[in-house]
Amino acid sequence: MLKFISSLKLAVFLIAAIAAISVLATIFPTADAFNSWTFRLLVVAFFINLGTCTIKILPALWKQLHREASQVPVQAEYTAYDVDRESLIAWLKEQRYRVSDVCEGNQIKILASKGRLGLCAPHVLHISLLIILIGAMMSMSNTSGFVMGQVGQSRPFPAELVGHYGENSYIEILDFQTVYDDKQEVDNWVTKFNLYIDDTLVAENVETKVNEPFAFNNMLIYQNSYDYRHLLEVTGSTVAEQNSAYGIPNNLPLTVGADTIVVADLSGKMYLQVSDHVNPARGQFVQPGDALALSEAGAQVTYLGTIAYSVLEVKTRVGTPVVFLGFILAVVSSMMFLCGRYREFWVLCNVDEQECHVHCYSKNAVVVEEMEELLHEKWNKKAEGQ
Amino acid sequence: MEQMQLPLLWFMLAAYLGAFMFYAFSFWARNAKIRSLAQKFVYVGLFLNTAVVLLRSVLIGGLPLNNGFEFGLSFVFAAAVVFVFIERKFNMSAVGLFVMPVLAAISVWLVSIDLSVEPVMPALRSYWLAVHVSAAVIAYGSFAVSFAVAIAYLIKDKKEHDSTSRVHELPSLKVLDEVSYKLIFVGLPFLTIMLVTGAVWAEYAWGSFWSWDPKETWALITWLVYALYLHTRFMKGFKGKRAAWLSVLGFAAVIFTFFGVSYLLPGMHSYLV
Ligand code: HEM
Repeated sequence: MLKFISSLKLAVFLIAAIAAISVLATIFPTADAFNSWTFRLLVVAFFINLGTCTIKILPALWKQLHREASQVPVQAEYTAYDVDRESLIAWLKEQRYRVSDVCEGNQIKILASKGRLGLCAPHVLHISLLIILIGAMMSMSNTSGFVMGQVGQSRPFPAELVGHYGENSYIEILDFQTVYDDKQEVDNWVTKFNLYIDDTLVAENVETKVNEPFAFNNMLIYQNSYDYRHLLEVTGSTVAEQNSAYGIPNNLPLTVGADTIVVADLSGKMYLQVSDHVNPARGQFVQPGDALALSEAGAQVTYLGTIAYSVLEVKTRVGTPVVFLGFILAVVSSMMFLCGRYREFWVLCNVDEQECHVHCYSKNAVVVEEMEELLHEKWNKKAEGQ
Repeated sequence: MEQMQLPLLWFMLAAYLGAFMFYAFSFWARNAKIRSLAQKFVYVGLFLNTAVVLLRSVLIGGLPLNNGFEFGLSFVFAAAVVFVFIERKFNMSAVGLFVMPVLAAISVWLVSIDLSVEPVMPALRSYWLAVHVSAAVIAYGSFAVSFAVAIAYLIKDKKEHDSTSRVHELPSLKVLDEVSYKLIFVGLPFLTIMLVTGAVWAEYAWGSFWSWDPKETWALITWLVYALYLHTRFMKGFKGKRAAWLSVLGFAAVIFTFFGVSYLLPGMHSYLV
C-alpha cells in the first residue's frame, strides 16, 4: 500500500489529472473547478504522494552523499586504462571531482564524485513544492476588502476584516499622489496614511504604492486603484439651477445648457474644454481658480481643483511567508539543476600496478557515455587480454 | 528609429525562411553543402534578430520584455540561440528543417502586429517582471527547439525501416531523444523560476500570489506537462516515441499559454498581447 501511495506511477496519474482538470477549468470557468472537492482531493493526494516519496528517498540520498571509497563495489564492469594512480587522481581533481581513496590489502579503491548539487536538486524541488502547498492551504483562510477615501478622510476597515482587527480600526489618508516618470508617463500611485488598530496608532505616516505594499504583522495594504473627481463651479447663468458646483470624473462630459464640459488629466496637468457643438471647442490648461466662458453670455465655468480618492486593498496574509519560503527553495533548486548531473568514477588498482580499472557511474546513460568519452580522450585503454 | 524595426524584422523573417528553404532543399537533395548554406542563413537571421532586440532595447530604455511583441521577439531570439548551440554541440544541423518553421511562424506574427512603443503601466514597472519574463524566454526557447527535435524524432521513427528514405540524413533516434530530453531538463528549471517570480510579482502588485487567472493556469499546465515528461522517463517504455509526443504536447501548451489564452480566453494577462 505504502509502495503504491509513494509510487511514481501514482505521481504520473495525479499530475496528469491535475493538468486535465486545469485545462477544463479554463474552458468552463463558471464551473469553478479549482474550488471543487475533486480538485482539492487530487491536490491532497498529490501532497501525500510527494511527501511519502520524498521521505522514502531521503535516506538513500543521504547514503549516496556519504559514500566512501571502501564502498566501491568490486563486482562491476571495469575497463583497464594505461595510467598510474597518481596521474589519474590528479586528473580527476583537475576535473573538479571530490576524490577519496582507501587501501584494502593489495588493492586500492578510489571514489571520485561530482554534481552533488544536481543530485539533491529534485529532492529540494519536491520539498519546496510540499512547503508551497502547506502555505497555500494555510492561506485559504485569508480575507481581504477595500478602503476608499480622499485625502484628509479617516475610513473604517472593510467589513471582511472587522473580525480580525475589531470595529475601531481605520485608515487616515494623509496624502495621495500620482508619480510621473521623466517622460511624463504615470510611474506609480502613492498613498500616505496613518494606520489605527483598535483606536491605537500603530503606523504613522507610512506609504503604500503599486508593487510595494505596506506590511503590518499579518496584514498587507495595497495601492489597488484610484479615482478622482474634478470640482467645477458654474456661475452667471440665467438658469438658476445651473449655477452650482459639480464633481465630475476624469474625461467624462458634463452638460450645462448648450455646452459640454470636459476636464482631462494630461500627465498631471488639467485641461478644461468647453464645446457647444457648433463652434470649434475651446480649451486650456487650468489651475484652480481659472475660468472659461460658456456659450451663454455672462456665464462661466471655474475649475476649483481635483480631489483624488485612493482605493486601498487590505488583506491578511497568513501562510504567505511559508509560500515564499517554498518559492525561495524552488528557485534555489532550479539553479542546482543547472549545476550538472551527479556522477561517480569507481577506480580499482593494485598497489604495484601501473594501470587503473575504471567504472563510470551515473543514473543517466548519456552521462555515462560522456564520462567514458572523456576518459578515452585522455587515457589509453589497455588492449584486451593484457 | 522606431521605423527601422519593421524592415529589420522583414529581413530577419526572410533569413529564417531562406534557411528553412535551404534546409528543405538539402534534405531533399541529400546535400551537405546546401545545408551549410542554410546554416549561414540561420546566422544572418540571428544577427538581424539581435539587431532588432538591441534596437528595441534602445527605444524603450530597457530589456525588451514588456509586451507581447517584445516577448515574441526575445522568444525567437532565445530559440535561435538554443538551436545554434545544439546544432554545434551535437552536430545536428539537419534538425534546422524543423526548427526554422517555428522561428519563421513567430516572426510572421511579429511583423503583423503593432510595433509602436507604448508607455508601461505602473503594475508592470517591476524588477520581478524582468526576471519573470527572461526566465520564460529561456524556457520557451528550449521547449521550442525540444519540440522541433521531437518532431524530427517522430518523422524519423516512422520511416526508419525504409532504407531509401531521406530521414537517414537526420541524427540517430537515440540522439534526437536525448537532446529533446536535455532541452526539457534545462528548460523546466527556468519555467519554475518563471512561475515563482510571476507569483511573487503578483503578490506585490495585485495582492495575491495565485488567482487561477487563465494565463497563470496555462503556465501551470505547461509546467505539469513537462514534469510529466521527466517522470515518465523513469518508467519503462516511455522514452522515444511517447516522450516525443509529450514534448509536442508541452509545446502546444506553451503556444496556447502565449497566444490561445490572450486571444481566446479573458484574463489579467491579456495586456501582454
Ligand atoms: C509537478 C510536480 C513535480 C515536479 C515539477 C517534479 C520535478 C522533478 C524533476 C525536475 C526531477 C528530475 C528529473 C530528471 O532527473 O530527469 C524529478 C525527479 C523525481 N521525482 Fe519529481 N517532481 C514533481 C512531482 C513528483 C511527485 C508527486 C513524485 C512522487 C512520487 C515525484 C517523484 C520523483 C522521483 C522519485 C524522482 C527521481 C529522483 C532521483 O533522481 O532520484 N515527483 N522530479
